[in-house]
Amino acid sequence: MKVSLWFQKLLNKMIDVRVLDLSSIRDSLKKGDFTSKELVKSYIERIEGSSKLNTYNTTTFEQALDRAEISDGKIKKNEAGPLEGIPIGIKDLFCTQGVKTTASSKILENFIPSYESTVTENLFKSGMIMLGKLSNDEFAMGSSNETSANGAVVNPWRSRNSEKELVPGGSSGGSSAAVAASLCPLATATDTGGSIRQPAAFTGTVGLKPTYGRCSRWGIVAFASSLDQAGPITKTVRDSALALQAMAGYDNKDSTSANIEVENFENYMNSNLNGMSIGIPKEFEELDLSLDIRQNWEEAIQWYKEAGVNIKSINLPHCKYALPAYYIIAPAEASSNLARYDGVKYGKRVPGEDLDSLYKRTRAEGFGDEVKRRILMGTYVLSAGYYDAYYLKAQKVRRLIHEDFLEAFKTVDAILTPTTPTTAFGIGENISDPLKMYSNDILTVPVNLAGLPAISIPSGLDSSGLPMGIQLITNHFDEKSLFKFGRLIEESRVNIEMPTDWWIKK
Amino acid sequence: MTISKDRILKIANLSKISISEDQIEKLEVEISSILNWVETLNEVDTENIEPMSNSLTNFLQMREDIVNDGEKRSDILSNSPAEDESFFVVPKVIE
Repeated sequence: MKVSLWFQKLLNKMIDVRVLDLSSIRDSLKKGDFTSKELVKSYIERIEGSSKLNTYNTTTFEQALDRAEISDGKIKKNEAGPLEGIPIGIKDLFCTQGVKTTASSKILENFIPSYESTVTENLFKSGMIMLGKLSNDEFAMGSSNETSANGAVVNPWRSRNSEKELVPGGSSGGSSAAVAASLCPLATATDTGGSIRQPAAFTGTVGLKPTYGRCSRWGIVAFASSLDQAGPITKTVRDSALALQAMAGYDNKDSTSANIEVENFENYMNSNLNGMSIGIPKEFEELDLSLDIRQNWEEAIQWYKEAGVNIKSINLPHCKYALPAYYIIAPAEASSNLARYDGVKYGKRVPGEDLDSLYKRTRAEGFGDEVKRRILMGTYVLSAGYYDAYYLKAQKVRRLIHEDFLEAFKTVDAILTPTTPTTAFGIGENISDPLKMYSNDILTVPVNLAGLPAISIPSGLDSSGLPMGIQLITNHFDEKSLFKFGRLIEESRVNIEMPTDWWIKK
Repeated sequence: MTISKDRILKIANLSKISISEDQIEKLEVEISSILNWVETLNEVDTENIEPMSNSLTNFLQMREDIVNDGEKRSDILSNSPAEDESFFVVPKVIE
């Protein structure tokens, strides 16, 4: 059976995409080991067999095959872009011209943008080919991908000897699960409070949140505009560097876009770390972390020590207030941003006898529970009589958190923490307890409030065989140091096998 | 800090979201517990601290105040749930 399957695959030139990553695909396409069309076909076949994971909201296979032919022509004529002919999955929060963009919400179930987001435009210009749109928590609000109107996404990882289905993290859970399951070698994602890094940690993938302002927010469905930032989920640190280079860049359509040079980040893969320094925040040591994650953190510190890095204990005294400050600021911005969904200009409409009831019914039916709760919470903290006590207070605390980090970066090059307090949990386990769900982001949220770049890198497996992630944080626009330091984690950790293909429809 | 039923109804109205009776009770409990939790911020001394609305305000870009886009009527109307030629249609607002 196995031999005949192998033979059949050979005849169809099916490629085993499980063993590939972004940079190896780039090199193979250049060498002519396979064509873009063969590659796209192989991903399509794998996606079709993986419906159980529920990662893609929409697929664009026909377009992808057409684009692949064009890319193959360009490769032959030496006109290829830097990532020519490589497939990509796009989080369903990025507007894609002519392709449904839903934010995994009922209120946008039929929305077809007439324009392209800057980040996807940049990626397509570099030659990448979209396979489809990936699920996320509704409007990126959640830490488990369970709030998607399309239903939960299933993590390709399971505990050893268990069939319990686990969450892939969120809000970029479709992106993290798709990369972990080899349903695309790169997925776009967004991070407002941890939505790239936490799902990456839960799925054994690399998740990068760039500096606020590094990637344009134009054309990305807005959640909390002062915190939202786009970034990649990939299999390796090198792939993350390649992806950032393609996504980033100044954009005059986003007033918060930074006019800062985009370097060749791949140059920082083999850096000597001797004499550099890493800070370990005391306050994070006091958090409620699982035993395995605490041990893994200590191991990682040891790896850096052995590489000649100076390890320093640092203080981030206001970080313990980051989570409550975030849950005032983010809902406040969301309540304002989501006011645009009124059933008039685009999106779902539920008729009413007058305009007011049209608005209220449309928004009641169109938004899910988590989104509604955050809009109400945000409206409350911005309303007259409460604004100073909540919103202004949170913004002042935000400044103190920001200053804590700036102070720390006077003495260290990077900060090292775990990405999450636990590994992936079961579907349905935390969804009815908002505060418990929010606590998932305790290690990632401070970074967004300060606008810093950070990366989550797989650093080992816990005692039940689930992936853990370690987080590196650096100063504004110092993504290159994330890559420098990040490579050592990949080199030092125990080999992380891929998840078994238990979900594949035979 | 707990939030009253009346207050929930008021913010639901401000948010333009209709909510049912059983949802009100659930929201009362959930939002009250979130408000209790965020109250820990009161431990922080923020005397003379400027509120921070954005981590990189010095990057806010300005440009000339000139028209640089337009003629997008059909694009803008293309996703409208109800339109009439070049207008969005809504229930009658003025009697």
